Amino acid sequence: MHYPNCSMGGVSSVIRGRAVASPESYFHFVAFYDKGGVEAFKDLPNVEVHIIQPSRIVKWINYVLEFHEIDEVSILSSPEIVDELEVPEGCQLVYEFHSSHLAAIEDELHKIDTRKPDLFRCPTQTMADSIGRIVDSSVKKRLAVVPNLIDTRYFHAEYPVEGENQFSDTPLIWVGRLDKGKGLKYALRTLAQLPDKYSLHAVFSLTDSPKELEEFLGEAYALGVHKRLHLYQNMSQEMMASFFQSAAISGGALLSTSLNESYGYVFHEATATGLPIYAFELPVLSEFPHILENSGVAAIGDIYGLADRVLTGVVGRDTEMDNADPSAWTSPRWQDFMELRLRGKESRVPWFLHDKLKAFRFCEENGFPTAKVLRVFDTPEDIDLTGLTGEFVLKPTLQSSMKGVMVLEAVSGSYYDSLRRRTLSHREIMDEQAALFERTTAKGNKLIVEEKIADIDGIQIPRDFKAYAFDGEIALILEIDRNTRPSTVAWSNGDFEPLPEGTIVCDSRYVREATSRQPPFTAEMLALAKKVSSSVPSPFARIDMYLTDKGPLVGEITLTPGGLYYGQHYRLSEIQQRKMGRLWKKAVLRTPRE
Amino acid sequence: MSWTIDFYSSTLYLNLRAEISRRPHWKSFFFDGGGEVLATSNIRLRQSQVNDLADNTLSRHATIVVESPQNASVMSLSTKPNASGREMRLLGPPQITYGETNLVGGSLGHGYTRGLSTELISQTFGVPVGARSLKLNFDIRSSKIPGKQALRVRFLDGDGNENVPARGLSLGDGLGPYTLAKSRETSNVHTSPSIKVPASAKFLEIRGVPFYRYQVIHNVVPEPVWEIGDVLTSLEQFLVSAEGKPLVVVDTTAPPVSDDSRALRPNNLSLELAKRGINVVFFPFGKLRDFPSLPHENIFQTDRSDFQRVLLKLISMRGGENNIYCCTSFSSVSAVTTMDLMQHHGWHTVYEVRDDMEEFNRVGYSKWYSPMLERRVVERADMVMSVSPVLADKLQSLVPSSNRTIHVLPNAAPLRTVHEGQPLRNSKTWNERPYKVGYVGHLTESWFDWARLLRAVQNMPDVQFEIIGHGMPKSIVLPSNATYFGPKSHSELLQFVKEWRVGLIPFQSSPLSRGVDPNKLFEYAAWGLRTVSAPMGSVFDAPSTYVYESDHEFQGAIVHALLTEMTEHEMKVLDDFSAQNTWSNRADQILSVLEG
Repeated sequence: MHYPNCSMGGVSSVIRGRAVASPESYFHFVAFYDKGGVEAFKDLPNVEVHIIQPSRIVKWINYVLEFHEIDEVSILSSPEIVDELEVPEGCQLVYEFHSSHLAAIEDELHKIDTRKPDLFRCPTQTMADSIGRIVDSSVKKRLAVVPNLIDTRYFHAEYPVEGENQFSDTPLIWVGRLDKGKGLKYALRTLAQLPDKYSLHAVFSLTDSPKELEEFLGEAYALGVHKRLHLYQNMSQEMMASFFQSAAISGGALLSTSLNESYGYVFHEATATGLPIYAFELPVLSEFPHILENSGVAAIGDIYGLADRVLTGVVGRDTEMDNADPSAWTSPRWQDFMELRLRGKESRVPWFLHDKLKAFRFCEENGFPTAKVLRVFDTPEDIDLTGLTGEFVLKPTLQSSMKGVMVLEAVSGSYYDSLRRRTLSHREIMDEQAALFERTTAKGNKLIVEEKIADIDGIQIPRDFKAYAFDGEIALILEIDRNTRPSTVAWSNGDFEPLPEGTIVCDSRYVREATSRQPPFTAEMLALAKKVSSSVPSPFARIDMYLTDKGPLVGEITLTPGGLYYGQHYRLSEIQQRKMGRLWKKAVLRTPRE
Repeated sequence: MSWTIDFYSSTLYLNLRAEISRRPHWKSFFFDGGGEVLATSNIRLRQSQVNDLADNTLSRHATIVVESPQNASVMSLSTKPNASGREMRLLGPPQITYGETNLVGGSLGHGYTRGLSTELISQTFGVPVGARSLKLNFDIRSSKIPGKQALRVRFLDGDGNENVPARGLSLGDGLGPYTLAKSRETSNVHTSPSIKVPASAKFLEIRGVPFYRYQVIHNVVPEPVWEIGDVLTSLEQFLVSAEGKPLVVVDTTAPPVSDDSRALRPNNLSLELAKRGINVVFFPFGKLRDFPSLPHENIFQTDRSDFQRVLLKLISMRGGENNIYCCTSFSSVSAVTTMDLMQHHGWHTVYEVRDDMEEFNRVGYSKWYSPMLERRVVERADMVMSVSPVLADKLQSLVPSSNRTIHVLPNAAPLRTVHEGQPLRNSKTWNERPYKVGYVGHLTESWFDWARLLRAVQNMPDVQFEIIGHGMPKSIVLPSNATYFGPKSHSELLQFVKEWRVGLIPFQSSPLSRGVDPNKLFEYAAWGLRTVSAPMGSVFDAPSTYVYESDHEFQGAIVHALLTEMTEHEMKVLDDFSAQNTWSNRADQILSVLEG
């Protein structure tokens, strides 16, 4: 067999696999250059490696063919020598395609007298189909699919881990060359989407040029992932098998960002070792169901999808959503997560955000636009509203929903509460707030006066826009208009688009349902919600916003929205429950655990 | 004419080549181990046994089957004159075949005087167990003008089948695998091409073949010199003996250990570590050539081309903190990946910087260098050290946001230099020396400040300047008060420096020179010299050292260093400095930092 480079890469694996499977055959691997791969064959008694200069190789092969009994001569990636070979009768000349680039194959075919080889060979049907489209029928007839073989002596689930070969983090193993087709930069970008506990261990071959590595490292530094990146070169098969095992034990996976594969050796080896795979959904994978079962795939080039797959830990084709019966699903439900939170089973919930004053400070510190706090009172007795002009909002800092909220305006010695359409004296305000204070068990309750927000449409009570968000990802948006009785609600998805029928069922006794429409400042509102959600140290929070003529403002950050949970006003469909459950799970995995 | 052949079989097949005109006659004597004659026999070749070997020669080839008596171990073979009185002349070595395939080479015995013409060379050798490669020693002369000599070289397996052509051989049309020795002159030429031995080879067959039209004569029959075993086998033995002891892998741009004339810091420090019982695996920049693979019982070194496979072997046999991978001024792609690999297997990693390799790269050397790779190595290594504060600053500048500590551990002088310089560190004799200043080292224009030196030489006609070293630019013309002596050996140097008062380090101002910590600073001190130096390395902290920035300062410093009386105290300080700055002490300091 001839291939230009003898490295630890794919073609060495092809030859090794065949030699292991056919111990009765003797293989001569003839290469132009030793790229650190000669050692890959040291344990195989039936393989001999010959490094022969390009200018001498034809003479060498022809001599061997003339004076030795050779059953088959197989040429890979060296079309220029094929025509010069003098193949004796009884010896088969094979030309093999192992490149994943169809253009490269086309180029090789142009350089060969295609009548000469007895056989053309490629490792997958996908490849054969592609090649079949660019060759004539005579070549097509001689084109055979011969799957590659992995070295099962090393790549199996019980292969031992070497003593010190351990990972202290969650390793993602990447294997390939530093060329663009293998997409190592995509791997770096995927890593950048993942929490710090994930590290990338890139094993590459065929590189001694500083330029290639320099460019790659530049990308890593630019993305800020260089400290989570580990680089290795020319590892032996034994080491790779041990590496895979060790990664599997550490909860790691194979991360492939290859944009095209003729066979995908590393997928086969990882699967044999029991290492899960996250990869782009390459056409060739469809030929290997056992690999797909072990893989989480995303569209080619979709690094966000790939990162999601890693975070959710889903391998195998995601068929859950195909099942019409949601009860058969195994994904967690949003309700289940919320129940854990409400029962106090979730650790490190940032409850301080339920204190409206602290939430205000949180927004201020993070630069999120929010309503200004004009006054703070420790007790209801301290309430002093003198000097406040126009409408303002008085609210307790530790009350949920609309309890204790008063939208006030001084009117001839009294105060008009436009929220409940009534007039109150200063004393009545204090008494009502005091009564609420007494019923509040939480410590640290205070009262604040906020500026009154003016809705962009000029309606009396500003509309609420509530984004149900999971660490920067919005699943639902609820718009509430309290100027009607009952309140009018409109539900939309994370892009302010209408939800599929039945996603949310509203009870018309309590709310009037309207069709959602995109408000002004849609993009700004979504961006704000995502930013706030990402800053909140929790996998889930509802970001409540108002919309003014200057854009959106943060109203509150709600960690336990009761409406959806208790289901009195509106209920989530089972599908939506599961979808939001998956988002919650993904966010949990993404949130640092210290 | 007679030949003596050792053998060990009862049936011999003698392959003979002779210059004959008729049927040759031989007589054989068989001896036992004690030299007693057991039998004699006359051997007459039948004409049918004589086959032409080549058309245009008188040489003949015959195979004779000889039955030897029991217990015979030596046969003596001698020719008898034929009927016309002409003695047969055996040209090829008598070759013995035992049985049908077990071929053993014979040798040219006494009586052979003219040498062998190339087409008469025909030898078969058994391949020793474990042979990985061989060197085929040629000793040839050309009869007329320079020519070429080809030997067909085939390896055979145990069944006598030819192996595929081995690495190191060429292929000729109708010739098969061959190796070539070029005879550039008509006088004797020795050459020894290296040939890889195929794994399944049992026999080596050599046949001389004419190449071009000129006759080439072999003075002796080509003999293979087998290289038994592989570097990994030797390494394995070394590692077994190193079990339980600390091990340091030195990955460096330095020459092999034992190359004393070019020894650099890694060479000196490796020897010091070895003396302390620490095992060292040393990778020089290039090939080992003729330097030993075990220059010290605790040092194993091998060619850089073996790096990858040796590394894999090291990992398979060693793991954990008792092992250190030390990259010294060689932050290549290989170092970047090796550092991570070794750390993954629990090794400690060290990056040592002796020179500003970015500057070497800038002027066209060190193609492997890239600041990005060096940044990576600085960041990843468990410990980073440099030889000078300037280099430490440079490394720090590569990783400005990190709190990376860069240890500065300057160069030093060999203990031998310090001991040999002891008599020179004497203030009384110093004050009696003539007004001579000197320089020892490389003289390349790339960093030696010739312009500044020449101006000083011209402006100070009463001062003698002596220059020693290699790389002197051809364009330099020295004034009469300056002398260039060429390169000198270590022992020769003492004869020169004992007359000097001052040693110079006149390097051009550049990032390259400023980063260097010059070894000669420590050598000058060991020889009891004051030093006048460009600003670089640790010269600012060295005693009796004048650092200049300008021509004026350079010349002023030389005058001051020459004329100021050397006091006992100053010499004592130089003496102490020399004693402290040996490679031995430096190794202790480094170990102390490592133990941290």
